[in-house]
Amino acid sequence: MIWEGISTVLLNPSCLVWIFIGTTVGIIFGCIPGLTATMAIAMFLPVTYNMASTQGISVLTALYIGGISGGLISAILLNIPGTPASIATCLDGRPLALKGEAGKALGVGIVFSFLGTILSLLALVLISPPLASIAIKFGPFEYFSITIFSLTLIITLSSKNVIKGLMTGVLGLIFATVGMAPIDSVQRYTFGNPALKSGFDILTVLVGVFAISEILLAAEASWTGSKKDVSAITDFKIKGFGFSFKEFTSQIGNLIRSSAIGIGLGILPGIGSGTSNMLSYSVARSQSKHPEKFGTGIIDGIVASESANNATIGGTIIPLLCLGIPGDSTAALLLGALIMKGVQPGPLIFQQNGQVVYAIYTAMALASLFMLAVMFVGMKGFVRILKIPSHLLLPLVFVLCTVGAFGINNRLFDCFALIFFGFVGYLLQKGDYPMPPLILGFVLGNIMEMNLRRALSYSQGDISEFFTRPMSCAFLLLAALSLAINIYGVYKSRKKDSSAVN
Amino acid sequence: MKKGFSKVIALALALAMSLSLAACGSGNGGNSGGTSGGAASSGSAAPTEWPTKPINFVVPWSAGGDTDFFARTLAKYLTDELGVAVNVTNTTGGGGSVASNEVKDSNPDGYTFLCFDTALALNHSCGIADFGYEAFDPVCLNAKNSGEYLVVRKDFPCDTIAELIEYSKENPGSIKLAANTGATSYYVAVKLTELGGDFNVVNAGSSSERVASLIGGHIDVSSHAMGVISQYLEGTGTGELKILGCLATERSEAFPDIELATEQGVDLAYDMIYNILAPKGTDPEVIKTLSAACGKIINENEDYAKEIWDAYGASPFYKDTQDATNDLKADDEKFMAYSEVFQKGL
Repeated sequence: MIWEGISTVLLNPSCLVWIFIGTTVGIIFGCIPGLTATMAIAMFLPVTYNMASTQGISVLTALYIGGISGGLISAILLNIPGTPASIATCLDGRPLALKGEAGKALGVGIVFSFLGTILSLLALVLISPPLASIAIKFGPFEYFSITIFSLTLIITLSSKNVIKGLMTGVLGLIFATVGMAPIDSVQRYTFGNPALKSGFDILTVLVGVFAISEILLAAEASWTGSKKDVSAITDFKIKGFGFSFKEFTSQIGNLIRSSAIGIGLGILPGIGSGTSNMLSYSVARSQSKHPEKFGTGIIDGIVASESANNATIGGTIIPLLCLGIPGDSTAALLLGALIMKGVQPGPLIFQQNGQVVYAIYTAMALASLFMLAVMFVGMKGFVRILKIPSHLLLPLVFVLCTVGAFGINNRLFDCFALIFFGFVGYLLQKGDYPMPPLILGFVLGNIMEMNLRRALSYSQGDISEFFTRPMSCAFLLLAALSLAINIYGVYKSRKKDSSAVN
Repeated sequence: MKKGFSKVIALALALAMSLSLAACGSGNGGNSGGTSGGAASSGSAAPTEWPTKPINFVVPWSAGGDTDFFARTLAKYLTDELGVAVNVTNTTGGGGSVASNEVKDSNPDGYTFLCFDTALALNHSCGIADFGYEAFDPVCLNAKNSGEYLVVRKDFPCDTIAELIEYSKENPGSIKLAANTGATSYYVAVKLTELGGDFNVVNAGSSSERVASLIGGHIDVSSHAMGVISQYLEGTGTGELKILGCLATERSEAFPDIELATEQGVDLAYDMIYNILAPKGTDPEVIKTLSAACGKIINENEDYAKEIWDAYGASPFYKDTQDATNDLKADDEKFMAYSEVFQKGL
């Protein structure tokens, strides 16, 4: 059965070609701000209807891996995360590129994306049933506590000004309340407009505050003549993957920790890669011997973000296959594709459809290899994108973002929402407010609220269960610890600053 | 030299952009074709000439679900039957009401249809939408699933729905019954409460999440279609869950041995039915032609029957425009009777 599954992919040339196409298209969708892996899969889904089940699922998996990996390109080169999974990649990738080491930044991102995928694939192949049974133990109490813990990351993601970080984080939470409330579907801030009922799509918020605001800032800069010097980015040499073996070995601990975080968040449906990259970045920073260097362009930050977001892929596939629970909208499409092919995910999938499962594993391994190859070959070309004058490039990016926003749901509303968030992002950036907390607040807001309300309905209003359930209590303690460490860190650096001034 | 290269890159990028535009275009081909072509041909086309351009089916859920599956499978065969492309687009959000609003207000030119399900009536009754089937011109009912089932963990001390109600009276408020506002599961909760049950009605998310919560011990009772639970039942799976009864109006062809709630003396029965609706004002001839084409495929095409059986254990099910309208009305009345409870909560 194992070999049958592997061979249906490996010995089938058309399947290999499709995986290659899927990976490449995924990378393109991932790197273009506004287009995502989810859209690529939604577009390809009808194409796979007439394929054999293993082949169809293989293509979709390849699109998924390509889509998550491609995001690092625009994050590093344009400071625009192509997907929510690459937000933390901007934090160090862009400064490194500005130092003239774009090749190194890309090389590190690509290699560690690959390694993250492979580690998560190993977890998926070897220990997915026990991991799935852990996921089952997570009820609303545990989910709520883990989101509280994740929200403490806002402090680490706020760079210099914690107050401003908290403000954008809360702003994210506020934007998340628009639309129908979780559980009872009460409409909030919809002003009678049916388009607002489902709230804002994460993509319009992300692309708005990162891409559109960047375009507005560039437009303003060209007006005032204070153009940013990006010549350093295009002026560099690439040798191999751009980093030394010694640099590689120094990151192994970081890789393993970040991948573990990626896998761990991946198996918890709903939290996923949008959060894992920021969480592992924060953890890498707090565990580092030189946390002050984070954000200035060190590879540690890129490694943490990119290995975590790719490791989340394998993590997300675990509950998808073992429990039939899709962790994000992309996984939901994969689930639909599986069911349509007559493959019902669940504890028996290994017995009933083992062949398909092993075909998926094989496709994932191949897709990550293709991803490595395509991105390596394309690396030199990607960087040249920046040679295009920004008055030509940015309007193009703007058009693509708008097309992407329209593509979410085939309606103009999302395009207007995109532009709205573009102005929000522009104003915030003018005031030097950090953006990642806004996205984190937005992503976690609904999960937190929904699970709080669920938990309280389970316990009929009794909050003590948050503390009496061991895992829930552990995460709340972690949250308190993270808060304490970070506050102490801020206090220490303030003291240092003031003594330096004196 | 450098300048030349940047030109090449710019060209390549322009190409990539137009490609991606074209690709997105193909995804919504029906939509854009439907509106732009509509302006050109509306008025001039006589009803007998329908269809002359691609038809657009709007599904209110994301691709890959049951409603989407039935719409897409039918659309595939309709493309051959009608000789024009039948495209399916997914417009999600608002529990389905974003799409239903959109189609309701769209141009009734005979090229835009809504492929929805029982949630149409549920949205109406719980106030997510302020309209029901009457805001549309129904085309037909195109599918029915193999029933929903009330499920508990294997060690739960009841074997029928009647016993469950009694047990909940003995342990008031302590049994967690999963239900989602505006979904069939909420109707189940309302009915069980009305029949004397005393449950702690909780929200536990989508069907697959509820199954996991059930096995994980977070909730106690939940209602599901067969697909998501069969792997956990004795005989067909791990045996972690057991069925208390089937909630459909008649025994399913796929699972004929499972007792109905009504057979256990519990007055609770509903069907998950999928429908095709046109915006109000659509030419009756168009509706007749489309309905007949759907009927022909559903009732006569064996490949279609096999596809829906393999994926969802569903048997072909079709009701023409008149029967569909009556059934939709009955469904609407059935759920509207509980409108107040739906909107205020239990």
